Amino acid sequence: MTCRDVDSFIVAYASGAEVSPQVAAHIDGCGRCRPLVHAIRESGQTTRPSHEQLNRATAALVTDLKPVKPLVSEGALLPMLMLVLVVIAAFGGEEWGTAGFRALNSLQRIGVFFALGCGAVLLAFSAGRQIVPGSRLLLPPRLLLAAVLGVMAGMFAILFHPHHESTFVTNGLMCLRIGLECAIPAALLFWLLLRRGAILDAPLTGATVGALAGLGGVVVLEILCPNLSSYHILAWHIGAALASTMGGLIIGHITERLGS
Amino acid sequence: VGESGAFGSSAPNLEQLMVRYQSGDAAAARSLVDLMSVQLYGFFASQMGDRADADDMSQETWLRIHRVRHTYRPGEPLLPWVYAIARRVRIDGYRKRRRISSREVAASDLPAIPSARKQASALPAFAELIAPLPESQREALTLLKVNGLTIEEVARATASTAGAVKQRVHRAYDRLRALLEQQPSGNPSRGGAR
Repeated sequence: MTCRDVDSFIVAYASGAEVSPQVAAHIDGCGRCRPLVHAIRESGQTTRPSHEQLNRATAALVTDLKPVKPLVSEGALLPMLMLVLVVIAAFGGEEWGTAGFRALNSLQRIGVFFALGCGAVLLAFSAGRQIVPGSRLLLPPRLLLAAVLGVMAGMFAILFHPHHESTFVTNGLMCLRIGLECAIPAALLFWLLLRRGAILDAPLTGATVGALAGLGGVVVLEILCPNLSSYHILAWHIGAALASTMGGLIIGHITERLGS
Repeated sequence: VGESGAFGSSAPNLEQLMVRYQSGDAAAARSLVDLMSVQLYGFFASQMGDRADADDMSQETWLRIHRVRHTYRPGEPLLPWVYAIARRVRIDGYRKRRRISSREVAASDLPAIPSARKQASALPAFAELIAPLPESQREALTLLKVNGLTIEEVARATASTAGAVKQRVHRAYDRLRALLEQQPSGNPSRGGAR
């Protein structure tokens, strides 16, 4: 047994809890672990809150105490967030047509919409958990955000091929504008659904919601835009999602600064 | 089997008390304060090193808990929910103080306010022990030792994963072991090895 093996039991052993004989034998016989356990055992918490502090804390809780309606369950919130994306996609298809969807081959259709669907579910799941303090996370939200956008870009780079086009910027700006025009109302609807939650890290939650709304914009762009050049899609379609993510991040920062 | 702290991972009835508090039961609210105040105060005292700051932040945490009490989901463990809020209060408090002190220094060109580290003698003993560690490792050990959370609960409270918390704790112990070897009879924070 190594010192690393007993790390999971250091505090328990120092607190007098029962541990396996092997763990106890290692700690008692190890010149590195024994002093550590001793130091932790001897370093008891010596300070306590004052009576006034306890009274103030109680007053904070019982003053104007009314029953509250708990936050909507995760099982109900997730479908509502996804419904927003479906509504935005349906609106975009109705408004700008479906030439893009028709231009995709079967493999591209499956790849693009599977990636967008999975990314949206993961981000919606993450946003739903971020508004409940102390939720269990499969991945840290920052990592998840980067992974979703990165995998999406990688997937699109594999599914599409580069083509030269003379109107790269003109066409691209049009797609960017449409993508953001869809992302903004999506973000507002997401905010309406999430606003009752406790947002502890406003920039991170803002970026997550922005990315989710941005994916709504990408869905609309994949349905309407028949340009299948990978340069165009990566720069302007994924660019719309990135711009939306940045917008959410900035709004989150501003909100946090104003709040403090 | 995860690490569990001095108070066990799930103090009796905390979750039920929270549900009763959500439904407007003042007695349950009082019981929550009675059961959790010492550990909550310890969370701030161990990391802030200043009694007034710990008092203020504990109070701010209770106010925020009251404000967002509807976000606790019955059936979920309460401690990660409480300490996720407490952790945010600490971060906000730190940022606010840093902003204020930088403005004051800029305005009057006064020397910087002495940091909590320089007031090491006023720190509680556990804070002294963990003072040489980086902030994230101090926080993980405090939540384990002072607040009695499990590794999984620390991960939830710090918006991290259990694997990342384990790694942090291993590194913290390794560093403390090395410091204690250098200073076998003393406290690592007094050895100046940082």
